[in-house]
Amino acid sequence: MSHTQNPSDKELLERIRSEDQEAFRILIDRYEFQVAATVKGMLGNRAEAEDIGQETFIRFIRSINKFREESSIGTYLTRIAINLSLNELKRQERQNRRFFSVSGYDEEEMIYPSEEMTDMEDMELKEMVHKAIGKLKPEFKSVIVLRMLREYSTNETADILDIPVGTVLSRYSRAIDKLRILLKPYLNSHEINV
Amino acid sequence: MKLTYERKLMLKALEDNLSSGEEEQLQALFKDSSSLKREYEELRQTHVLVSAAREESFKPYFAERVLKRFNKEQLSIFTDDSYNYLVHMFYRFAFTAFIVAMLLGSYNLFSKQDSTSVDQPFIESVIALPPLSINDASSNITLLNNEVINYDENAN
Repeated sequence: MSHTQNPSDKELLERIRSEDQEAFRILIDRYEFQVAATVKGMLGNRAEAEDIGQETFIRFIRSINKFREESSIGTYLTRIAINLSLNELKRQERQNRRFFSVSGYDEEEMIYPSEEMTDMEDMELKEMVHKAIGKLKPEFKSVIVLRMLREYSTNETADILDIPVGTVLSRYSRAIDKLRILLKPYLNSHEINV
Repeated sequence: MKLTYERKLMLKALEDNLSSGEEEQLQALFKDSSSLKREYEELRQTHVLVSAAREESFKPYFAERVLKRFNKEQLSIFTDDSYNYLVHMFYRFAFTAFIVAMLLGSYNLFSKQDSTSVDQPFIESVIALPPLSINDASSNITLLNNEVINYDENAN
C-alpha cells in the first residue's frame, strides 16, 4: 500500500486505526511541539514533563476509536495533556503536603535576574518565566498555558478546560497580574522587542 | 472576581481583539489615567515575555521513545490480560465449587439427621462418612485377621 509523503490528519487517523506504527510516528512528530508547549508550560522543564508528554500520545492511541473528530487532533491532544498535567500537579501537591506541609503556590516574591544575567540569555529568561508560571495554582496555570503559550482564544480555552468563558477571563486576569508581580524586575529593566 | 470594563478592554487588547471603537475608548482611558497606561504596558510586556518562553520540543528521538513505551505497554497488557483471565477463571470455579460443596454438605447433614440415630461427629456427617462404632471396627479387624490366618494356612 502506497502512502503520501505528507499525509493529512484524516489519513493518519485511518492508518493508525489499522495499526500502522509509521503513521503513529508521523503523528507524534507533527504534534510534539504542541504537546511539549502544553506539558512543559504546566510542569516546567522536568523529567515528569517528558513522561506526561509520552503518556499523552499513548492515551490518544488507546482512545483513538472514541475520537469522533469533532475537534482537531491538536485540540484533543491538548485536552489530554492538560488533564494529565493537572493530575500530575495534584499528585505532586499531595506529596509536598505529606512531606513538607506547605504549598508552593501563591508566593508573590518577585523573581530577580541573577548577577550574571545582564545579557538575559534566552534559556535563562525561559527558566525564570517557567519558575514564575510554576508559582501559579494549577487552575490559573492551565489558563496561562493555553492562552499565552498555546495562543488559544478565550473561547477555545474555555472549551478545552470545560469551564465558562467568564471564568477563563477572570482566571486569566488574576494569573497575568500575579505573573506581572513575579516578573516585575524583568519588565522594568529589560527592553522587550514586540 | 468581576472584571472592570477597563480590564476587559485591556485583556482584549492583549489578544489583538479590539474593535476600532474599543481601541479608541482604550486610548481615551489611557489619556485620562497614566497609571492605567502603565498597568497595560506591564501586562503587555508580561504577555510578550511569557509567550516567548514557549518550549517547543522534548529531547531528541521523542517519537522513538513513545513508540518503544507503547509497544512495551502493549506487551504487558497482553501478559496482564492472560494473568487476569486465569485469576478470573480461578475465582469463578472456586466460587462455584464452594457453593456445590456447601449444598452437598447441607444435604448430607440434614439427610443423616433424618435417617440414623448414631452419634457422629459434625465433619463426618457433612462429608457423609458411614457411621462406624468401636464394636464395628473391632469385628472388622477380627474378620480381617481370620482371613489372613486362613490365607497363611492355605499357602503352607
